[in-house]
Amino acid sequence: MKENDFNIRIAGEAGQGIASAGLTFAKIAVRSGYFAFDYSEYPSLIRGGHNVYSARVSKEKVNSPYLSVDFLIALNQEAIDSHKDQLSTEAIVILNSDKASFSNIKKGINLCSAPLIKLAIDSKGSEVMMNNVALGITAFLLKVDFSILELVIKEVFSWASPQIIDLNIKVALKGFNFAKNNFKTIKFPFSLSKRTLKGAKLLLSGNDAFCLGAIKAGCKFFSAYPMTPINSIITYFASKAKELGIVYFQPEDEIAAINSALGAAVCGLRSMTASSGGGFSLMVEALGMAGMTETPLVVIEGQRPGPSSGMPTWTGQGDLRFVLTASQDDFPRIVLAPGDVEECFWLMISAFNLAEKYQLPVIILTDKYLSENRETIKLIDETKVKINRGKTFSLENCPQNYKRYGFIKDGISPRAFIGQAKEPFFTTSYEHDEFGFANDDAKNRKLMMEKRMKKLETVEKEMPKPIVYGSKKSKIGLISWGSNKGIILEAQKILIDQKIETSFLHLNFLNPFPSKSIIEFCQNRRVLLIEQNISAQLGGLIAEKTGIKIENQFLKYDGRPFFPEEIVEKVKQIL
Amino acid sequence: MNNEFRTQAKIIWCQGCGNFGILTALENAFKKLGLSSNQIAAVYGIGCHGHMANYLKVYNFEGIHGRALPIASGIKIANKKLKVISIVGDGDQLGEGANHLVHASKRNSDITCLIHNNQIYSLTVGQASPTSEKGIKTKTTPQGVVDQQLNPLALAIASGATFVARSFAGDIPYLTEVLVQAINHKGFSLVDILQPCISLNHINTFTWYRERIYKLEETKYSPNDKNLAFAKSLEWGEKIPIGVFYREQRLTLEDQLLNKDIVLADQAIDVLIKDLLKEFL
Repeated sequence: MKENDFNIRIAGEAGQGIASAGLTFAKIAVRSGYFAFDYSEYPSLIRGGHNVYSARVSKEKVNSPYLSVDFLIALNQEAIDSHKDQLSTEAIVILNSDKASFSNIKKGINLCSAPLIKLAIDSKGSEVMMNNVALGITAFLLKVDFSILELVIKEVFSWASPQIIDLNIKVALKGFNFAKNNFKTIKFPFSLSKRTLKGAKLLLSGNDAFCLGAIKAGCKFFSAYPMTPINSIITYFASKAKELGIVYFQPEDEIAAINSALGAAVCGLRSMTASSGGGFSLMVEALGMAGMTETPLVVIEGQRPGPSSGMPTWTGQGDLRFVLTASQDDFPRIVLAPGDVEECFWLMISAFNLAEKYQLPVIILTDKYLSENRETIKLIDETKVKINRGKTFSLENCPQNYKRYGFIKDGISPRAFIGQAKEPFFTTSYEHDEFGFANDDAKNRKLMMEKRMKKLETVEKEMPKPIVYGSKKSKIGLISWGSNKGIILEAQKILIDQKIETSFLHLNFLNPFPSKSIIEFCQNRRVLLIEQNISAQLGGLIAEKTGIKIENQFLKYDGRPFFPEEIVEKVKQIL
Repeated sequence: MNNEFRTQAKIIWCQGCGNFGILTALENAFKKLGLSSNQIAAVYGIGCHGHMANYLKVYNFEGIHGRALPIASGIKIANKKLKVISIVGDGDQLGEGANHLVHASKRNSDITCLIHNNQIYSLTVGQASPTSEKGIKTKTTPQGVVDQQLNPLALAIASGATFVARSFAGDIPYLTEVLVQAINHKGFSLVDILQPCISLNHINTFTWYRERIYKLEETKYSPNDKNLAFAKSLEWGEKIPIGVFYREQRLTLEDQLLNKDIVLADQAIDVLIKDLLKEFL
């Protein structure tokens, strides 16, 4: 155990307020001057079922949770039974003695039994407020100033009436005082005693970062049908739309979502849709229309384990091959896969710029893990955001006889917007001539296909090179894509402590495919491929595009993310 | 002939097709309304009707089968200064696109939806469509259609459309009048246009319709009672009513989504998110 680098877990039944307790805890940690990274597991149920909130807290930046638990809040029996084997040697357990008991405790573990429900009801609260009793106890044990907890409860419950907020603070204080009276002698190697953290820090989920990125990029129209794990993007847009003068449109299905987004895009709006694999399946026909009509569009695809309904609230990376080839015949598309919350923001800005510059759909692949975990990041410097709308004509400079799809060397014909050209122009999902009239002439067809595909060659030239993390020269190479980034970075830290250096190639640009960088990286290295699907989809792509077959593969497809400890073990096996 | 609403493209509809009448009536309606070609956006599905995207000179977007209305909704929300017309077919809108019709009606999007209803799939040469009459033999129904005919007017009224009418491609002046009213209506307007397909539907011909249709305004009918309108919409057979079945005023989707004076397409793209970040500190 490192000093003040620990994992907390809150477990219980759905409906016991675990999500709000988690958010409160993470905010307390950040306000007290620490970095946090949190992760929630929950089944697709509103009440009942086992829910788990995990957070890792540290004085330094943290990039993923660990498997082991140093501080457990167990709200019911299942919570203690399921997590007791992961307790670290000096762990603290806050046990809800109204619902659970714990015997055969390993030596060193500090058991803090408290009747959480009784304490809540004693302070005129209700049973559901047991979460805040537990947080009061936690605040005492971790030396958190109660005023910080009070402030954060006010924020987290800002939607509730003043009476409810007051009661929640009261029950938290009850817990705090109960701990003061009963657990004063408990020794715990970690604390959240107030420290100053240089510079303002944000606590953001991947979805929060997507929202902020899209709004900053000038997205004015967002249309999406509810589906886990992209729902919080919808909620955020819907809640801010009126105040920002933008639109969240709730469509009847995902087909209407993407088609309406394309309608808004041809009028010149920066436009976006989002779904998970199932909803994206419904969008596929219109995705091809975005390709054919050369309409800029950003699509967020939040992966979860499939096929079909699969496991709605769990995570995976099984849709890479699908989004790369979705819809009939060939057309250019860009596929991005951010690795962490900060990349979610910045790649969202890139996504809108690339979509407009190259007039094509940009798909952002995320997953339940990245979309929903929260991470502490440094304050976003919005002055660094650059907007590039590509080649456009306005009402003033649009030429007579405007050719919407004129043959131009780089394949990118200047775009005008519906309603804002000198004369109407034509847009069609049929193959068309330079003016946009339907046309099936052989020569025209060949030129149009080449013009569209040409755009990808230009994208490739400006594509950033993927970054190698850790040692640049190690003979042990790790290759992965998307949301595994933080987990692998944490694994590299553990390996360094064990004197094992590794190089890690993180891919977040998947189409155009960074073949050159991969070939370079694989030279003279023993490489381990890490991804969350059963068929090594990235591995297959690497073989197809570079001829390199990566033999060492660590594939996980049980719906759970990788944990750093697992990666460390795997790396040692291939040494 | 100088027609600001007509392109130079060669028309490939069959000679005598009902679509010619609809194209002419639509151009007439635009002229009567004093609209210019760059004030109008038209969205099409896929079908014979969709070829109009090459002939009618307005901002055209020929989308994919059944999905014209969602595209039109996006266009109208983005730029509410435009008149938005959704030009669709019976198979297109009432087959694949039926759900979109229900929801555009419910929302009262300010769009005019024109169904070119020829009661058959013509572009794919003769399969039964959702409005084919029971018993009619087509390529997909060699023993005759077994389903009940789908009624677009009843569907639109039940779904909340605020202007519902039927007209006939064979009566250009009357169709023009109905289109003028539909385009002028603020809210979702649906016009079911009886459009004979001379090549593939040998039953519902121009003559067949002329023998049956009568105009609602020539009776004592008044289009402001939803129950009566629904009952009227069910009338079909020996007598077929055309005209305006139902009309009401209701707030549109666009006026509720955005403050009245905001046109999204005119908004600056630069946004400051400094204040938005505060809640994440």
